[in-house]
Amino acid sequence: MNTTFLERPPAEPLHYDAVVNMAEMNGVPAADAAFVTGDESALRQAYDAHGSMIYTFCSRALGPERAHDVTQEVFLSAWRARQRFEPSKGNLAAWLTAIAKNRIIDSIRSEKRHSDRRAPESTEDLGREGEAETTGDRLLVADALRTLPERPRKILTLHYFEGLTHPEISVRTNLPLGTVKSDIRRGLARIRAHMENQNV
Amino acid sequence: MSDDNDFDLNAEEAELDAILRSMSADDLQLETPPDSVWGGIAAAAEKTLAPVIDLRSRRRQTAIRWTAAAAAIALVAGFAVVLTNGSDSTDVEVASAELLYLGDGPDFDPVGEGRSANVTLLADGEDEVVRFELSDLPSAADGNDLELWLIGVTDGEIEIIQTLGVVDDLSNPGSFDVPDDFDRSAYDVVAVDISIEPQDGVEAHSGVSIVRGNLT
Repeated sequence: MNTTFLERPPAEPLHYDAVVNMAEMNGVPAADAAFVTGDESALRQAYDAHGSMIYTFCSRALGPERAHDVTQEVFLSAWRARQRFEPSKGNLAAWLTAIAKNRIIDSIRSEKRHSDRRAPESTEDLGREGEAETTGDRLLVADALRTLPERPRKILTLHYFEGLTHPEISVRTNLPLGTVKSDIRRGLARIRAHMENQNV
Repeated sequence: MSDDNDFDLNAEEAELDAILRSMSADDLQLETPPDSVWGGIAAAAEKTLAPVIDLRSRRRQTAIRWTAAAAAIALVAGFAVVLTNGSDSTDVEVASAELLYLGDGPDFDPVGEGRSANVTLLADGEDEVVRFELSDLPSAADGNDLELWLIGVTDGEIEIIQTLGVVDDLSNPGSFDVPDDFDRSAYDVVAVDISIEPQDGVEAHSGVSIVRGNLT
């Protein structure tokens, strides 16, 4: 009998405080850094910070019933794979959203397989997957907007959601036109940074 | 909205600009998940995984000839059972398992990396079923199925590998009947395994799994 005992020692835990301090110095949100360490409160923090966004994403793509389970799967998958998450390669919101996209697409394909295994993939199926991608992008942009300082957040909201032109925003806010343009450009850059995810 | 941008947008900015212009106020509103969502996550994150069989196998070997490479201790985070509604009130949970990718070997396909499933063994006094509670199983490639197995091991030797069926609905696999002649008490360890099976008519385990865990 060929018997071998393989042991898988847990990964060396990083000290929570040290990681948080390093992260803050490098501009990484402390909660994102804490998630990597596996600190027992970090999963709850991550859920408090991003649970509504992920649930909303799942609900809009799959409906509330399936959103319940898929949201759980997203956070548990992320928790299991947390050692692979590198905050320097993207924030936790973007990583969770990427995981959610994969789970949602899996769920759509599974539903398709369950309903009729013989039917070829239709444009409607592909449309649902594409719509899920778009929904995820929009929710992540909205999440990024919420993280902006008040002034650029207000200016971007006036521009994109209330349809005001740059000069109109300048009048409404009593800010110089150059400030309005600058805030919009910097705001876009910060949203873009928020959406970046090189974690796989 | 008029296009009043008088500064040029680079490609990334233009892509983001397009997303923002496609959004409505509804996109800023978030839904609040039911408390049970977090309840399931918290319960699942607390349980510690029991020893897990490390099955070394080669495709096409018959079950009884396979040699178990024994038990591997996987000290990784485990997941508790999340009993969901819809269960028969007479069902009693007698065991549970967290199925994990135990990769880095020829007997695990990398498609299972990072994936898992939680199952419970339920009994009503006569029959037993294996029910999925949580699952994030990957899709099998075209021409393949995911198949659920029970593996009985005694003294490090695999004594039986019993299929419970093909897993069709990956996000909600449901329940699978345990054959009446499968006697769990006859084995030291009973593992639950999900394998990738080519649709080639061969009934034996392919020897390539994606996740596995012991019933405890």
